[in-house]
Amino acid sequence: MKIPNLQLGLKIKFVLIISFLILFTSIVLSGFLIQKQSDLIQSELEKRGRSLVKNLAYNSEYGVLIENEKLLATLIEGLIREEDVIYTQIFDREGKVLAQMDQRKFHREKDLDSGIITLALNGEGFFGEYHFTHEGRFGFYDLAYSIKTTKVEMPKEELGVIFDKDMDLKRLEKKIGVARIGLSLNTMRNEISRMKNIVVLLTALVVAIAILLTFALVNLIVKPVDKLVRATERIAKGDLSQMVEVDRKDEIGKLAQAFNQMTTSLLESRKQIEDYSRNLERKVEERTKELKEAQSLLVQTEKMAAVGQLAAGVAHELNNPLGGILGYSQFAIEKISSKTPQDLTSDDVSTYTQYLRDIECQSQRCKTIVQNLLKFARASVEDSFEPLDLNTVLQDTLVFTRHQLDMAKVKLVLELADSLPHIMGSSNQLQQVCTNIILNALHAMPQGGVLRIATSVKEFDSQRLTQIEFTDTGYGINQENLSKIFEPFYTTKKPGEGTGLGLSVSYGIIRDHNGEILVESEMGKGTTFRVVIPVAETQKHKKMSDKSKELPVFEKGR
Amino acid sequence: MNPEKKKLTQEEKILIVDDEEIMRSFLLDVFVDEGYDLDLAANGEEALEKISQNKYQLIITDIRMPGVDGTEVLRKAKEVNPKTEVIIITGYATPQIKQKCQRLGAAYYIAKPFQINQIRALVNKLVRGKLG
Repeated sequence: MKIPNLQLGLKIKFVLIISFLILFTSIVLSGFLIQKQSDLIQSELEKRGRSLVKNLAYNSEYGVLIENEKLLATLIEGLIREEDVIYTQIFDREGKVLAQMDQRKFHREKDLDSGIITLALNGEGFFGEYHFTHEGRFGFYDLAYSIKTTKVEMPKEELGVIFDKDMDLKRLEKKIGVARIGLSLNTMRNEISRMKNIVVLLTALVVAIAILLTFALVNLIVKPVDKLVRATERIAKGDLSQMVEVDRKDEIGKLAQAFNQMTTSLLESRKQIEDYSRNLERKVEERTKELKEAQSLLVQTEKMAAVGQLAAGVAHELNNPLGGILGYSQFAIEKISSKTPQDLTSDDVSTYTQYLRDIECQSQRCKTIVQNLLKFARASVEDSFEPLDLNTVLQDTLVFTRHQLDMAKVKLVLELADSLPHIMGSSNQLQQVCTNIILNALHAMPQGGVLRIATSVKEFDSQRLTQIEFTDTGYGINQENLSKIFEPFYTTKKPGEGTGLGLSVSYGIIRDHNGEILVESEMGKGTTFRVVIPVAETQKHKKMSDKSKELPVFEKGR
Repeated sequence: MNPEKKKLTQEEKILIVDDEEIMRSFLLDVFVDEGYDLDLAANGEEALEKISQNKYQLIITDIRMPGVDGTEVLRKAKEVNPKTEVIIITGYATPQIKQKCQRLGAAYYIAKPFQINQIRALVNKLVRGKLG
């Protein structure tokens, strides 16, 4: 099962992707922010430097003009008190230092470059330069601005005009020196690094919160999905008892609801199916039972039909001993009643005793016949299989059928094997099969003929089989009908003369014995039926019934 | 015993044909007691042989027998001597066989088991012309 991995993967994938996006965005944004802020701080520094140096330049104008170094020193002193001003210099127009103050601690050894002063004296505006020492750890911003004085010429003074807005005052400006300051970059750097720290910290915080939120969000989505997945898993395993508990009103809630509905309807339909199959099972059971009953009824019906056909034989068989019994008893009564006890001779007594013995013997015979008939007619449902040999079965069958054969002028040729190994079977059922085949043979020989019945032991595919072979000299069965003779209700007899069930019932009985009925026939010459049943000790039920399908017809007429 | 019964004549010879030993022995006992001369045959072939060798006034024959059956015996008996009376005794009578026997000239057709008086009366009537 890969479903839990999928869930984990989904969650991690979500979190990783979103976290990466947040991180990337945050880094880009904070980098950009830091850059912007650094630029801003630097430009603030430059602005401040410019403002300071410009102020110094303006304020120095008078001092430079009158070359009052003391005044200038005071100005410088005031300025140097500013935290980040590390040095201040004032130059005259020749570049000579008029006043200066230097608080540099780390780069005193480096003489201040005079190039910037020259630039300031010759050019307009600010001239600034960054200097770094100690491998860039320390730095300052060197800034110079020219000190100018403005000589106001009043060309129209005489006209009484004091101030004319169109007057170009600058043209009258004159550079009289240079103011220079050095601003430490430390403050700026500190500020920048503080800013950086804040930005990084904030970014980290934001990222952390965002990732946590992502986790929560992903959980919010994945958890119910996970529940659904687990529920699906359970359903896949066939457990429909549990519902998915997602108490939400969003899409996932709806999904869970739909899922639960699906589960419920699945449960219902499964119940229906179970009910149906239970019902079906019961119905099949009922039908099977009915079918079995019908089948045993069929066997019984067919047997009764055979009994009906045998009635003549039975009647003949019974009436003979009955005739003897009736005759001898009447005869004995006559004899005895005509005599007084004194007249009885010992010869008489032995004669009458013989009559009674005959009566007894014939009564016994009647009893046996009736018993046999009942045994044959008995419903075979309760039959249990027992070891028996086919010779005995055959002889029992012939008790009733022999008369039928005699009457039909059919000569019976018996070729019984001396001793047959036992088979497992029902004597009653097998007698029914033999009776059926014999009666069929009789019907095939209306003008009489020969019925040869032979028993034998056969070896086939390492199996020992016993066989009864019935060969008649009747009119035979054509190929077309040969394939149908085991079908139920198939008969060539007129309606009312046969049930059409004899051979199909026989077929069923022999299959129950793991055996086979084989038939071959030639029109006008006769038909051979072979009943083959495996010998008891080698009887392997399954194997036999599998093999029996491909059993070849045994070679004709050994 | 009635002395009259002991007056045996050649004409009064009776053949009993039945594959059932008990029937043969019973009929023998009864009709020997009646004073008749009897021959026994255990099957149809034997009966045919005896019919062709002897002259019988009456033949009592079973119908159903292995091989040559009662109707054959009847036919042969009537063929050899139409005067010979034949009583058919059978364990199982079908109308077809009954008709056939009638057509072939059987005198009586009796189903087994029969009453002793009945067979005795019929035999006496047929052989001696009187009702027992």
